[in-house]
Amino acid sequence: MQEQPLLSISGITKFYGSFPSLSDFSLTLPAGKIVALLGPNGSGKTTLLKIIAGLLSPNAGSVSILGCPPGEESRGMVAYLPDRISIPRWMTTEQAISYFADFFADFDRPKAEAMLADLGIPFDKPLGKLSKGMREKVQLSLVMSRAAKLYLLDEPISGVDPAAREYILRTILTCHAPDSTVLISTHLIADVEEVVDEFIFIREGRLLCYDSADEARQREGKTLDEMFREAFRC
Amino acid sequence: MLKKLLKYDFLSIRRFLIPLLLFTPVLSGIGGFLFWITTFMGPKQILFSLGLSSMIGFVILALVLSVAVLPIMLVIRYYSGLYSDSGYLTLMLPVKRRTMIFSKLLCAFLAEASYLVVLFFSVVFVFGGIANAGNPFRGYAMVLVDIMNFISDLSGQTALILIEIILYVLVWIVLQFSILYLGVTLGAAIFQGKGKVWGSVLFCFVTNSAVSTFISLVELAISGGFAGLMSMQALENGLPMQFFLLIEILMRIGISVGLYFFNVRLTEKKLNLG
Repeated sequence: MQEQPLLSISGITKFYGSFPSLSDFSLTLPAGKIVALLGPNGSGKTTLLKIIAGLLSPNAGSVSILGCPPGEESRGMVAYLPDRISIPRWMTTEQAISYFADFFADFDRPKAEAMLADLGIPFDKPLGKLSKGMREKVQLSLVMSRAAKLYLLDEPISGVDPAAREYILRTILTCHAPDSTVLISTHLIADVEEVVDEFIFIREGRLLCYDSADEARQREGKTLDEMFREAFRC
Repeated sequence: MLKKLLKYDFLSIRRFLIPLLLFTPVLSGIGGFLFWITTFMGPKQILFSLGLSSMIGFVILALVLSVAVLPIMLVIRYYSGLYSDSGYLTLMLPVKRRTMIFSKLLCAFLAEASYLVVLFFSVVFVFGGIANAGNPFRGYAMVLVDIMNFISDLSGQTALILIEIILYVLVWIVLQFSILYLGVTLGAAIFQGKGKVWGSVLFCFVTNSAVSTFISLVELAISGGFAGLMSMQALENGLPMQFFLLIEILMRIGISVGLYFFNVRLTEKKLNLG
C-alpha cells in the first residue's frame, strides 16, 4: 500500500491583484525530511508557506496535509514560524509559554523552558522589552518545542547573529521528530547546506526543481549554493 | 477553548481597561468635588468661579470622551489580534474562527458593559453624592436613599420597562461590536500597505454609522407599519412602547447574529495577512 504523503500541493495559483505570485505549483513532500525552499526575492516562497499554513487562500488548486485541507485540524499538525515576530509584545515569555501550552496539544513545556533558559531569555519581561534577536529566539524556541508533523519556517536565521544562527540550525536538526518534515525558506543557503535532505528551487511562482541535496551535489559536483547561483544568475 | 481564548483576550485588554475603570470614578469624584466647591463654599471672586466652572467643563468633557476611548481601543486590539503580525500566531491556533471571533465579541461586550456600569455609578453616585449636599457624606446617603426608594417603588409595569431598557442597552453593545468588528474585517480586506491599519479602523466606524442608520430606518418603517395596524385603543393603553422595544431588541439580536456569521465567513475566506 502506498504511504500517504505528508504534504500534497496540487496546481495552486495565487494572484496579488493581477500579479501571479504562484502559478500552477504542485509538490508532494514525504515525512521525515528537512527541505530547503530556495528562490530569489519575490519568487513566491512566503506566499507558498502562508497557503500551506492556511493563512492565505489560493485562487486555484488545493493543499492537503496528511489528507486534511488547511483548517482547524491541519493547524494542530503544522508549526509555522512566520518571517516576522507574531507573539504580542505585551506578553511575557512566561505568558507566551503558557499560551502555546494552552492551545497546542503537542507543545512540550519543559523542552521550551529548557531551550529558553539555555538562550538566557528572561521569563518575566514583556517581549516588547526584549531585543529583536531575543524575540526571534523566543518565537523559534516555542515553535520548535511543538511535536508537529510539519514545520514551516520562513527565514528563521536571516535576522540573527552567526552564533545564534548555529544554535537555531542545531535546534531545527535536533528538535523535530523523525516522522516530521521541516520546510525551511531561506536566502542563506551556505548555512543550511549541511542540514537539508532535499531542496526546492522556485522562480516566479513556479517549481523549477525539487531534488535530493546529496544526489544533486554528487551528480553536479557543486554545492547547493553554487547550483543556486547558477540557476538564478541575474 | 472559549475559556482559554477569553483569558488571553482579557489579558490583552486589561492594560487599558483597568486604568479606564479606575479613571472614571476618580474623574467623577474630582468633578463632583469641584461642583461642591462652586455650590457650597460661600461667596467667591469671579475669576475663581470662572476657573472652577472651566475645570468642571473639562472634567465633563473628559468623561464624555472617555466613553469613546474603550470602543476605539477594542477595535484597535481586534485589528492587531487578527490582522497585524500577531495574526500570524492567532490565526494559526487550532481553534474554529467562529469561536475566536465569538470570544473577542464576548470580551468586548463584558468590557463595555462593565465600563457602562462603572460610568453610571460614577456619575450618579460619586459625582451626585459629592455635588448634591453641603456635606458630601450626607450626599452619598441621599443618593443611596434615592436609589433604595426607586427600587422599592418599582411596580410590575415600571420594572418590566426597566428590564427592557437594560436589555436594550446590552443588545445595543452586542450590535455595535458586531458591526465594528465586521467593519475591521472588511477594512482589512480592502486596504493594503501602510494605510491598512488606520484605513481598517476608520472604515469600521464608517460601517458602523452606515449600518446603524440603516437599522434605524428599518425600525422606523416597521414601527410605523405596526402603529398603522394597531387600534387607537392599544396606543392609548401604552402597550406599543413595550411591544416596539421588544421587537427592536429581537431584531437587533437577529442582526447581530447575522453580522457575526458574516464576519466569521469573511475571516475564513478573505484572509489578508500581508
